Amino acid sequence: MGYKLGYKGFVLVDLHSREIFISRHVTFHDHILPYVSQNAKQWEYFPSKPSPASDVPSSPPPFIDPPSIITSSDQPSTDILVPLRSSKSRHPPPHLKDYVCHISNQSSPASSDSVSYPITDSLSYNKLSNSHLHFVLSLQTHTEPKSYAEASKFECWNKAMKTELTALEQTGTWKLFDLPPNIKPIGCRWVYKIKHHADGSIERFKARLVAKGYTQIEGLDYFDTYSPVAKLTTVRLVIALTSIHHWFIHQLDVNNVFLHGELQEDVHMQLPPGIKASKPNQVCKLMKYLYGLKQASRKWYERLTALLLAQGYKHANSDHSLFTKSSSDTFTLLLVYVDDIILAGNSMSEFTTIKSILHVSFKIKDLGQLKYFLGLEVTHSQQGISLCQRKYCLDLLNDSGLTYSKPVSTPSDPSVKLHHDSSSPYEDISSYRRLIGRLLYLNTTRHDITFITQQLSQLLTKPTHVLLL
Amino acid sequence: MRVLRYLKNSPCKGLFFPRNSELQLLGFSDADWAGCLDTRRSIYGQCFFLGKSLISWRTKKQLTVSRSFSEAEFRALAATTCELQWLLYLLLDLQLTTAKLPVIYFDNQSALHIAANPVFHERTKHLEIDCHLVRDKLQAGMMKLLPVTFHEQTADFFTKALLPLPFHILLSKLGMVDIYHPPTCRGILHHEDKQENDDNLRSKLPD
Repeated sequence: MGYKLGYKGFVLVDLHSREIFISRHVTFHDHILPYVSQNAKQWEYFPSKPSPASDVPSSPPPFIDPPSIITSSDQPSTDILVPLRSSKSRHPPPHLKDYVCHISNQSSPASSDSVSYPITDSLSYNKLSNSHLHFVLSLQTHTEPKSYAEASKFECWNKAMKTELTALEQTGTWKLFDLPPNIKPIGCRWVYKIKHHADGSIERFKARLVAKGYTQIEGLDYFDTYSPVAKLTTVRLVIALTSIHHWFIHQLDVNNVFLHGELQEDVHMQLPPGIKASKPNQVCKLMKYLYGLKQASRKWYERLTALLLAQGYKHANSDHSLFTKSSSDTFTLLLVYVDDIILAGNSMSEFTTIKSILHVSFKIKDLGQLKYFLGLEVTHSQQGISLCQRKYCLDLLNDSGLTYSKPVSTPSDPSVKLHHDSSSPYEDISSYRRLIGRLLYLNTTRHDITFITQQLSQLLTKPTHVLLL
Repeated sequence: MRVLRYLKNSPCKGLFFPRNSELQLLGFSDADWAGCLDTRRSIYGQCFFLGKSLISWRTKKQLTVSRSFSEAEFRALAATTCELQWLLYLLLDLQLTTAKLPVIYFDNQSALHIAANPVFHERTKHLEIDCHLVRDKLQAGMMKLLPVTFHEQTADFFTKALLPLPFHILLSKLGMVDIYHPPTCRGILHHEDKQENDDNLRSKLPD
């Protein structure tokens, strides 16, 4: 490893005992590079049943490489182990030949010659198994349109919106009426989402119509609301216990979770973009629940609770979104985060039973082993389970234009105490607040920024330029 | 912004839940007395481990002003006790009654004495509710309180900005991993070379 001051000898590391010691009797083996094999495949994602995920997919999903990391996406078919390669040939300096080097450095256009601090210095995909690599990369390759104007330019999104409108009309979600006087209709908008298969390939483009529930007035448009939202501490505890007890952990997705059941209140909504009104001043009167309505999730929670209690599940007192069922040797728990469900436990047969029961009532989709939940990426290995927000964090860096900034080693400067002072105020308060909101969500897995986030959020009302340094 | 540049350093850091972890709750509680310069309220930090995996943490400004360091620490301890109680209820709901007795570590001697000693002095009178809370739970055998040295106080991490060295020492204790972290040796190497080396290695190392 090198020399130490004041000693005659080399500093060595014992690879088996992981001890560092000093010796003068050293033989050099220039061709043996122990870390090549150790790093390569440590983080195997193992599926619970033998599935094609363990082999290389015959046609790798056509992913574009992460935009901020690598721009060339040449993927030679022979080179399966490391798909991130440039078609350009580069010649390394001969003196570096004996070192194990980070492979995506060479393929990145942002390597040392153009940018001083490439993101590849802090990011590497080498330790992941191939199938999991496909999965994590596909998470960040496609961006979804933000508005109707943006989406209507693409054929795939137009088709998706048409499908959704047809489905809504078939279920009789609304009737068209003339707008009654003295009533202000609530707005609505489209939300676009790309759905992925477990191996990372695109399953479908999905467009969903949501009502702007935040314009609803209490007592008029809605009465009671409730959303079953699992506490993030509960999610972490469940994953920790899964790791310790070697439980199975699966994820379910409920299709059109809110569209069941009749709406009791009178709610008028503007016509969705994409529908042409036959005469002006026409609105939809909602007959069924729609995404975004304040009362929608309460109704769903009521129905789910009734169903689970009938199946012998017990409602936990400490977290209302947690349901448990135990017998002499089996234990199953169900954690609900609005329409995402985590199922964990030691009995596969109970999993099958409850999945089929839920499917009969709600049309669920079985997503298999838990991998991506609320933006948390879950990676399973022999040693344990890791939880990170890689995509969320990279997006945050990208949106704030700091992907190529110079990194610092601690989140906050100990010599600076943040407080309200008279330095020049920062004008764009809402962007500051948005940033703090994103940092707060990042706190789900990053406790190292908890303190600084707390400090920064003390200054939400009056941010100053000092904070942005 | 500094915190973003810090995130740039390791954007993929995340929590790790090892399989060989015990079923015991370990809590840490700490306070930074009068840490907020604008209101002079104290900031407290707490974190909970289940064995080796970190599951819960918090940094929060206290709601009232504390007149002494012990008072700030004691309020932090009371808040930590409440969180522990909730975690225990949660474990109970998950049918885990076999877990070992939880421990809360904190570094303030006088707060330890206040918790153990049923006497109220003039300067602790207004802390009475918090005192009763902690003492009752202690006597009910819900947890035990243990002192910890300043250097091992993990919750320190949540109450103040640290210098790089102590920051990274504590960070390593908090069980964070970065499975996307590149190997430490940076440089440029052709892919074929790596494959070659890999093959060399396989042929030379005994299985």
